[in-house]
Amino acid sequence: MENLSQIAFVSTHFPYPDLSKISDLIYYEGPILSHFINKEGKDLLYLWIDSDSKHNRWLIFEVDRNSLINYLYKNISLRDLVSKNRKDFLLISDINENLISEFNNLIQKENLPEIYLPKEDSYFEFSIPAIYTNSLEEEYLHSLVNDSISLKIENKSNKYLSAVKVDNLLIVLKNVKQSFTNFISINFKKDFTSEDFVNLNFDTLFSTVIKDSELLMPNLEYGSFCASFTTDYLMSKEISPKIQQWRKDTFTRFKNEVIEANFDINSLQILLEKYDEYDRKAIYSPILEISKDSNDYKISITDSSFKKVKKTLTPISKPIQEKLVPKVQLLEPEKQELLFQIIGIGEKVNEQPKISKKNILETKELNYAEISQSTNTISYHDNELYLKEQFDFKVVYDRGTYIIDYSPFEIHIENSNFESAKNSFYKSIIDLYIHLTNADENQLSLKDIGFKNELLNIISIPNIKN
Amino acid sequence: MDFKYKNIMLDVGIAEICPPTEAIPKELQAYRFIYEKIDDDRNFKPVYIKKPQRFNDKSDVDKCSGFGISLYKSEEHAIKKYTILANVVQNIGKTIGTHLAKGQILNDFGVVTPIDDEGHFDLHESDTCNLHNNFTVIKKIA
Repeated sequence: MENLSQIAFVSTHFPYPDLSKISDLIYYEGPILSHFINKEGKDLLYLWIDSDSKHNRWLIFEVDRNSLINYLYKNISLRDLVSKNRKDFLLISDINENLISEFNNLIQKENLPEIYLPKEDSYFEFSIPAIYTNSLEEEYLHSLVNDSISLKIENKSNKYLSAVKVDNLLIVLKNVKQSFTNFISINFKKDFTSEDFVNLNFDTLFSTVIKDSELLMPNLEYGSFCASFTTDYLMSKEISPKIQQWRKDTFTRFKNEVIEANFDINSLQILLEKYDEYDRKAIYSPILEISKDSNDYKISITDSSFKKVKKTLTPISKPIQEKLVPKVQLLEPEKQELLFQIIGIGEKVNEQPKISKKNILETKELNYAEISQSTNTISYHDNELYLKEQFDFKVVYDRGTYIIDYSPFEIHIENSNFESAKNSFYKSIIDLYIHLTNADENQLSLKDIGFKNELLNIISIPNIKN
Repeated sequence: MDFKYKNIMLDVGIAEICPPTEAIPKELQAYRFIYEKIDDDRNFKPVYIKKPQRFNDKSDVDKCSGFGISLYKSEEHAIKKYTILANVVQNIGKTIGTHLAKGQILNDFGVVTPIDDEGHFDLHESDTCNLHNNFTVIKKIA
């Protein structure tokens, strides 16, 4: 075993008496990681780290319940539980065969020998013991409520006592959600690039993050309408822990930068530098809309029990509003075209496959595909070339780009839109035809003459208007 | 079939439920974590025999599992499990072995439990089984 005499302090007593074992978290032919609790309700983890012929050496450290949940849900590693522990000193205890703690050493986290630290990849890859599942669900809901934004929506008049109009409620819910979704989208693209995720398609990852960042309402109360809003950052395990942490942090940022923001000059300046006018309009307009003086409802930010009002959403002053959300026309976000392959059961109708929606068995997103195309007419705007026979060509789809490489006419087209790629191809052929038929035959190169003959060979009627 | 640790299981009070009824004789290839020398005394001893005190707070089902020899159905399954454990404890080799051994389990070796999702199963040895003679070290994994 490692000699601790130079790096740790001997403790004359075991500092955690009267422990009760909750469960072994990792067990392999013996306990590897065990969870204990003391009389005061402190949670402790015992991690087996070494042994000799007489002793097993355990690293013993306190852990808060939230971190423990995050560890069990693979959001943080065991290494982080140890190295980022709130306590500066951890306990190393050498326990003999009779389970008596014979030697105790207090060691500073930084001095822990590397061999005793779990590796970077020490995420919980084991079954969560049954004893935790119910209490973890409660803890999970509790943590959702704790981290949430709590809003109280009330009528300004007493016309319906405290009852809130459904229309008003829908507007508030819709606008909070819209602001949050925009905030997540904008910040994700600010904080990450495709280089941050090797082996992951950035656009697919972006869509997944947006999908998983649904705004949830873990707590509701009626009378006036009170709702907590939050987003999950525990249950979606398919994304990397880095993203999970980012989502958690981003929700807190949304709380601070948008819902609970004080738009004083300093904070405003930071926001102006951070977000451009389009981003600011996307994020802040929905919130300014529900904070307007003319609304017949008012919104307060409360504590998680909805009892204590922390702040009322009030309209911000006009000069600040004009700076925060200048009058700009928002551009429609550019939609990215993806290619899908659909596998389904259907029939042939007029030689064409027909599959009803319910008979689609699988829809796969493709990174690469070769798409055969054929036509009897090459047309672009008012110009048309009617062909003697069916004209075949191939469109290759490669990670978002449609490529038409037609070597007989040395035409190469690349476009992110399928129809645009085809149109560009047709235009190129028509331009080639116009150029070759208008040119003086004597001026044409041998290659051009070859192109011209090939074109005349396949065209039956040209209909060129300009 | 008589089992190697029948008398101890009787003393512990689990002979009636151990080996479990779903365990059956089977012929299959198996992989096990062991120490470098194949004849190391620790290599093919069930954990209950090596460290009975570890089972003081365990259920009868867990105690029964402690009489089985842990095995994996493939090298990939074994390495995956070892890597996960070594990520948690870098010294894991000190307690479960540092090498991977491969062997053939035969019908008269005892009974094997159903293979789980991690490719793991237990062999409850018959009194004639001698795994030392049937396993060979294939690689160092620690």
